[in-house]
Amino acid sequence: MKHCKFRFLGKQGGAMLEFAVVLPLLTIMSFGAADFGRLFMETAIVANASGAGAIYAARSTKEASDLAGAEAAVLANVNGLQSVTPDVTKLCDCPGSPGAWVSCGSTCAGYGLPRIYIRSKANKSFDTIGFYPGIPNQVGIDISTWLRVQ
Amino acid sequence: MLFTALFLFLAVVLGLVFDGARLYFERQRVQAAADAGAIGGVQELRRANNDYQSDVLPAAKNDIALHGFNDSNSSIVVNMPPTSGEHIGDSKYVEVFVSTQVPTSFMRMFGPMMSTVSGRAVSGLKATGDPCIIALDPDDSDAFKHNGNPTLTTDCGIMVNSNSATAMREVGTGCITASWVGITGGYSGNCINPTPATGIDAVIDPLLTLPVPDYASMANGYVTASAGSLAFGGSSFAAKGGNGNGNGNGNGNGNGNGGGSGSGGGSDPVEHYWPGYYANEIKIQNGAAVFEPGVYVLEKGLKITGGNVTGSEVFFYNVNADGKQFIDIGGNATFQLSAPTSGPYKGMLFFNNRNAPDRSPGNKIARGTEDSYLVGALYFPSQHLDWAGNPENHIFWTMVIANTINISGTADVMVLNRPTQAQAPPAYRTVLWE
Repeated sequence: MKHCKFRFLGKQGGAMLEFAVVLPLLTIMSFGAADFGRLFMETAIVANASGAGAIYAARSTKEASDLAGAEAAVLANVNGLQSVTPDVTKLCDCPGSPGAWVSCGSTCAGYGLPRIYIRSKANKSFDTIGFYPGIPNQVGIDISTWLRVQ
Repeated sequence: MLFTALFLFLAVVLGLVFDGARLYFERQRVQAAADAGAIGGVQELRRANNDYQSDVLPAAKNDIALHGFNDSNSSIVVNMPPTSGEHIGDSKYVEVFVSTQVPTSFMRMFGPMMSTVSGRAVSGLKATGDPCIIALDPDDSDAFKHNGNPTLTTDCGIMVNSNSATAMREVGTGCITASWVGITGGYSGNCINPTPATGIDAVIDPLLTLPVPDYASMANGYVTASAGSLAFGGSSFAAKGGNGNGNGNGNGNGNGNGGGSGSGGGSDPVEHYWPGYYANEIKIQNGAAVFEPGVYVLEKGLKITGGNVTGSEVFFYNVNADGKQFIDIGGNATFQLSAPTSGPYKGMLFFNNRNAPDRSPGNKIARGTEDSYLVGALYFPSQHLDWAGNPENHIFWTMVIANTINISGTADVMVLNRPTQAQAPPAYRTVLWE
């Protein structure tokens, strides 16, 4: 019969050894779960705040010019989350050249007034509470919501 | 052994939570893209760009792409009209489906390597009470004010976009009667029929896409004079006094030669204004004037305080760069002006520069004499319109859109919004419905 080399530890000792081996992993996993939960929650909040800014500014072309009001709408929807930075921008383009931003007062050939978009960005830096080898302990949450106003 | 088993169990649970959370986040992204796509498609409908293939589909896909989804990484379906939900078959609505495959991390241990997340959105145009009188300002108190004795009667709606608690104020002895009254904010007054609906979403300016005349290369307008008389309503009268010099306003040629001192009608001069660009204010204080059919671009406004002025099939665009060059019509004048019945400015009588600063006292349409009327939309999107009552039984067949509107005076105002006459497009707002 083969003898286990840790037999001298007895049943309780074996359990302790097992616990000692598993504990670091369990600790990392617990911190990881907590950090992941925080990251998930903060991302959802930042996304929601970004959407609120876009919805505010997309109500009309008047509101689309009230970018300060839209950024205030972002901050009003962060649910107490600190250090969220809003950045709401009004951008205009012509259908023939999407993404080539033009002056919103210009005219698109054959189309009339340009399309008006609101890009509502909200970003926040997220710091982990644990340290995980190979994983950065700071990541940026950066969410943009686009809505067309005109 | 127990710890190891628990550890493994915990790892599996955390893995599933991780995958579930990621899928949830991707679902939010896909839904945001679908919402944006549906709204983007409907914005084309609002511009009357109704073709699915060339207008709505590319617009929707463009806005979906702004959220990172396109035909190469996701499945995008745009339906106009929707094929499901509450608005099946309604061509004023656009339905968008976006779905994408998200690779799983831990769930793949149990089989699925990818999971599909999808979003659906329906957006559409919703008519808002068919307003023909709209005050666009988003937050002014008294954005629409009605005071004095006149009654205001319309067979269409009134919309006040301001979110102020006193966005609309009705004071004095007159009453407002409309088919519908909607206000984003609140109102005061006790003679508004029907009772205003408050908390209504602001409407988008229905003339938002009306193009500005291309006047960079437009020929200068000019004035000529001829002998004759003008007929108003059922009666005719002699043109008063005129000296036939053609007033040379604008860059006109001002070469009137009608001269004379005619009396009693038939031989007095009539000033004829011809379409084109006028660099200076057109001012008519007396005499008879005719605006010949066409487009008039006014650098410094139009002032009619007397005389007898007619013009059919006419459209005026006021450049009004500093916001102080107003349209001012009224006084003792008799004016009969009507908008084009065809062409790009069909139904439009006055169009004030959208970027003109809102300065006091604003544009003024006053009562004029009993034979006066205006037919066509009065459009002052960034400025105030002071609108004094027209004598009883005289009708503005028109649509009135201004930043703020004040109705005053002593006589009645009637606004009829007739599709057979000169009518501007109905007001719609974009709604994200589902």
